[in-house]
Amino acid sequence: MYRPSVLIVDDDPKIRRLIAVNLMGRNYVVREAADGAQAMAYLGRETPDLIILDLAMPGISGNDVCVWIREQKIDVPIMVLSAYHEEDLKVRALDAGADDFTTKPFSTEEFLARLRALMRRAANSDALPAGEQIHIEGLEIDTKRRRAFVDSVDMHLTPTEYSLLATLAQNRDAILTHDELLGRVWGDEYRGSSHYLHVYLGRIRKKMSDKYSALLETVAGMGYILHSAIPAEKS
Amino acid sequence: MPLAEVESIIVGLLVGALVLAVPLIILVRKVRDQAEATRHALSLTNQIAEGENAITRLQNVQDVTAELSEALTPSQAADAILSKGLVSFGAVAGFIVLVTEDNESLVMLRANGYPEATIAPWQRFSIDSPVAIAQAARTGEPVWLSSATTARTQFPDMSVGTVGKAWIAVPLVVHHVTIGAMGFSFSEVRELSATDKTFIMGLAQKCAQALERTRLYEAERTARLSAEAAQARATFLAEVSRVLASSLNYDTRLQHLAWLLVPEFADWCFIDVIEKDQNVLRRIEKAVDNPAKDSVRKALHDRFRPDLLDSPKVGAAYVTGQAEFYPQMTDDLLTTMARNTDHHQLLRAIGIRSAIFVPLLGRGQILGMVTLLYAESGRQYTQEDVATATDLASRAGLLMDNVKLYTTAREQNGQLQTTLASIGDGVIATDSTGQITFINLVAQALTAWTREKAIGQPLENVFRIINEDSREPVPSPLIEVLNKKATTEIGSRVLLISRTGRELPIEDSAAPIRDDEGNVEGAILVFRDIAERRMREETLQETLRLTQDLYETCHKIGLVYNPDDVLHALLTSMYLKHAAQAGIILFDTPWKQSLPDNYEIRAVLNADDPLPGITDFQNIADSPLFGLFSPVQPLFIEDVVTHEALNEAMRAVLLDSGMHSALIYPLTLGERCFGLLMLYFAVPNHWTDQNYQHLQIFVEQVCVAMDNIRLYEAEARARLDAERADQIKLKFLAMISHELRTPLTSIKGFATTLMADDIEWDAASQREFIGIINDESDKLSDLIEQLLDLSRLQAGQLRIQPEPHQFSEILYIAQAQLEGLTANHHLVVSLPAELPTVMADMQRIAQVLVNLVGNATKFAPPHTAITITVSPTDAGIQVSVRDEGPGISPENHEKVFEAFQQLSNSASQNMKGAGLGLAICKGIIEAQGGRIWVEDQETTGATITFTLIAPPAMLPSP
Repeated sequence: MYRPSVLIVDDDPKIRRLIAVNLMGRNYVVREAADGAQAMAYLGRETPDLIILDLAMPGISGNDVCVWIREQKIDVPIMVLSAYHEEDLKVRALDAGADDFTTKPFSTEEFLARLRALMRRAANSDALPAGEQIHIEGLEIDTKRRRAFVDSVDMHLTPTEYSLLATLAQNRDAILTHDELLGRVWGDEYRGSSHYLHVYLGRIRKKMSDKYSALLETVAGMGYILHSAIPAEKS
Repeated sequence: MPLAEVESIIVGLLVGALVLAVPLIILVRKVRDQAEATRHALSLTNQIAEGENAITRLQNVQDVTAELSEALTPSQAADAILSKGLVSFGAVAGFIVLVTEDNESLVMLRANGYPEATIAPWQRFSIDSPVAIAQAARTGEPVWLSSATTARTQFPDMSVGTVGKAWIAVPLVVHHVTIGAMGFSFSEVRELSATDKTFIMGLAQKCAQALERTRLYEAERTARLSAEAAQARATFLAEVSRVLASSLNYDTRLQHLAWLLVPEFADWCFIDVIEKDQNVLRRIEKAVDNPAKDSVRKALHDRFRPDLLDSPKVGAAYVTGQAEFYPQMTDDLLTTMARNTDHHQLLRAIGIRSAIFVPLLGRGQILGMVTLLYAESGRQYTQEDVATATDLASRAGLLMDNVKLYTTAREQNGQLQTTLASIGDGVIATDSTGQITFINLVAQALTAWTREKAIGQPLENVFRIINEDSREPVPSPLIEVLNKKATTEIGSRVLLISRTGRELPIEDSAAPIRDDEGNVEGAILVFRDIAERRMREETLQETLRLTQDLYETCHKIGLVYNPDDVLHALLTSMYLKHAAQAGIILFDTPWKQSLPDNYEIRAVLNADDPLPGITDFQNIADSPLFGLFSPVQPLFIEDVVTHEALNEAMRAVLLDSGMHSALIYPLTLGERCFGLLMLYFAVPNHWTDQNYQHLQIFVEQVCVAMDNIRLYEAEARARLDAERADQIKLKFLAMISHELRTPLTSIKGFATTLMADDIEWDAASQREFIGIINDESDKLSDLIEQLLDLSRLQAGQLRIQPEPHQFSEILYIAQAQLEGLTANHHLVVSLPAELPTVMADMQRIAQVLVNLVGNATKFAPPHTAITITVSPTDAGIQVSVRDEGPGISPENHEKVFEAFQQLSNSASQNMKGAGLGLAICKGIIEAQGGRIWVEDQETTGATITFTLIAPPAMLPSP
């Protein structure tokens, strides 16, 4: 049986221990890094299935590590941990490329549920008919390789971004409501957290480049549409 | 961050800890002080509130000052004080009284917020009245009445309770003279703090300055108005002269004069001229058009011909030759003027409001009388009007006299010479070719020509006149008279140059002399020396100029907000324009008996040059300047070379800098001399008393301006401090939040791990988890303890009971903890056998020791030495804790003891504990009379040392 691997990055050994015992007890393979530098060194050698990343660490901050991971085009789901609970920090972490966010202190049950949802999301595209390729203008979604391309250039989407774009592409020209998108991509427990969507769709639009960003339309107060052709008035 | 939010964060965090602690009985004991922590955390915000208060107060001062600077009259200044000032003081009502000139009474200038009936009896009252305001004005000391009880005790007669429940009365003092006082009523019983009082006194001083400034402004305005009025009068008189000179005919001239006077200068005008027989008067009359009074005029004209003897009252002017002036005509006065009831009724019918009777004087003789009445217009004559009337009457008299003389001469040819010779003005007559035929004594004196030499000379040889400004010769008026055959006057500003070269300002007029057929057969020139009048005018002008300068300079100083601008505004004054160097210095501490140590140059005219006596000395105390004057007495050196009191050292300093005079003013507010104003000149100066008075006013203005600047700067600093405190507080909260959550995360995480349904943990794991929960609970508890200690220290409530102990006892208490902490390090204790007993709270000092060693273990690499060294000192002992870690950079030696500072720096970087420890250590050590510091580093590692003092009896006797 496949045992998913998780990299835990936190300077507090007790927190690493806490997460490690819980994950190992549930059959995950666990790797630990005590700071950003160790994490980067590890990621230079191996790619885990999930990264748990503390934001407030001495030396390189979690946020910087997050940015670095995305710059390296490592498309691994990232769960960010921090004692800070302010909304803007959360948004900053998501902006930096994190996929989800857990505030300390947390209950292990809830934390594990979030991890599972994150892993599920990353694997979500497997549920799509394998080998199908969706072409919308110069946008290409390869469901087999779980990659998306703009004019044949890899968009380097994170797993969550990919899931989101793929879901929109499969339902192209239909409005997907906030809750539908949240439910399908993140899981039903995320219904109502529409600020996640806002951050992600902004990032996807940026990666689609100006040329195609008009394909992705925000329907105010409802949800989003991915058009199968650039709407006339916007071309 | 709002206080409520701060509170809720801390409470939230602590409540979270509590919930988790419940299943773990071990925690209950450790977190019991949480409620207290919350309360003490609130005290952290107190400093901020104080800062904000200070700002509000300073803003109020600024508001009042700004409004005061715009006030132009004492009333406006008073309004500003009573509107803005009331708010600033937090008072409900207020009033201002001024001391009268005789220093015996107080008069109400303005009141605000009192019922009419309360304030009505206090419009004017004795300065000795047994009330607070009178006492303040009398003694120059403020009176603070914090409640009705205090008020009744101090002033039994004072009517208490009408307005307010507390009162203050503050003197208004300008330049050590009490000019008045102000009182305020408060709606609440109120105990004023020392800061409040200082603030109120400061405000009072500004008010006093403003009142004085507006009074000066009013004086300047009055002077200007009277100068303008004088100008208008001069114009009027010139017109009168022109009219009088316009015709040779006696009656025509007077008729014209009457026409000129009505309605500008009178509603009714009678010009009575004495006829030859001395009792009969010929009357020329003119009144404003008023058909309603035509009958009155006619009746007067027909029935009451003027008679020299008709009225003793009016006749007085004939006898004395002085003007009679009735600013306010009354019926009683009319009675004394009326010849009978009929006459009385007619006079009454004129409706006279105000009257002037002025004799027409010529050659010292009374030639007639001008009667000027205001009736219909309701105007009133003033003393200036009397002067004008006198002047015009004398001009009319002069010319009448000239003509009369001429006429008389015509009639009695032989008398001419004698008459002209005796006239008070210079008179020169010529024939039709301009050759002098007559020159009187006065003219001889003025021109320095004798009669013998002058006769037969062309007029221009004797009567040499030039324009005062252009110095160009002025054509002789005679030429014009002879050409135009009309009376003429020479222009203004004419100088007569005598034979000896003396120059005299004169005014004159010339008229043709005609024969019976009206042919011009010569000309007569009348002139007078106006040097004295000119001097009076010039003095007036000079005074006006000085007052103007005073006002403008003060105004400029009042408008600027930095020291350089103050100095430059001051130097625009005409007194100081030629200053070669000037500067304003401020002392670091007020100059009283002893000199301040340091000073700061806040403004300087020529930045590259020294301020002699100041900048050429390293130390203020070395300057020979300070032996010469005192904080209350300025130093005036009008001439450096001759100034007797000047010491040779200072004389040399000044002369070396090329300065020949200097003014050094102490800048003083109240009793506080806070700096110097220094003015230097490259030439000697001689100032009058009036000049010094004006300079003194400038200096006072500079004092106020510099004080304002000080306030502005203090305000800016206070605002920065408050902002900084705010920032620190926010960081502190973020930090505390992080620090509290870290152990909580482990506690909650492992607690919920233990509760998981899907995994059965083995016994060893369970023990490990509970062990971690326990450790983290201890950390949380320690952190809470530290927060509590810090709060108590800040609130001054940390209980510390020093008692005599040996340091070994303290070490014994701390030993177990120290050993635990240094499990990975090498603890070395160096304790001499003989140490003095010291005063210490054993538990607290042990806490400090544990804290210092704990810190060392955090920073020093494992297996390095941590050394505690104890040694005796003169006052007790000193204890050092040294590690081999990275050390503390010198710029942080002070900061590490600031709780917030340490925290804010560690927020994003190396977080090894909340950093409250050293702040607490400092508090504990200082509370026991000791000191704690970071040793300057010679090798690697950090050394922190603290001292403990021996009990008084244990100290070696001196």
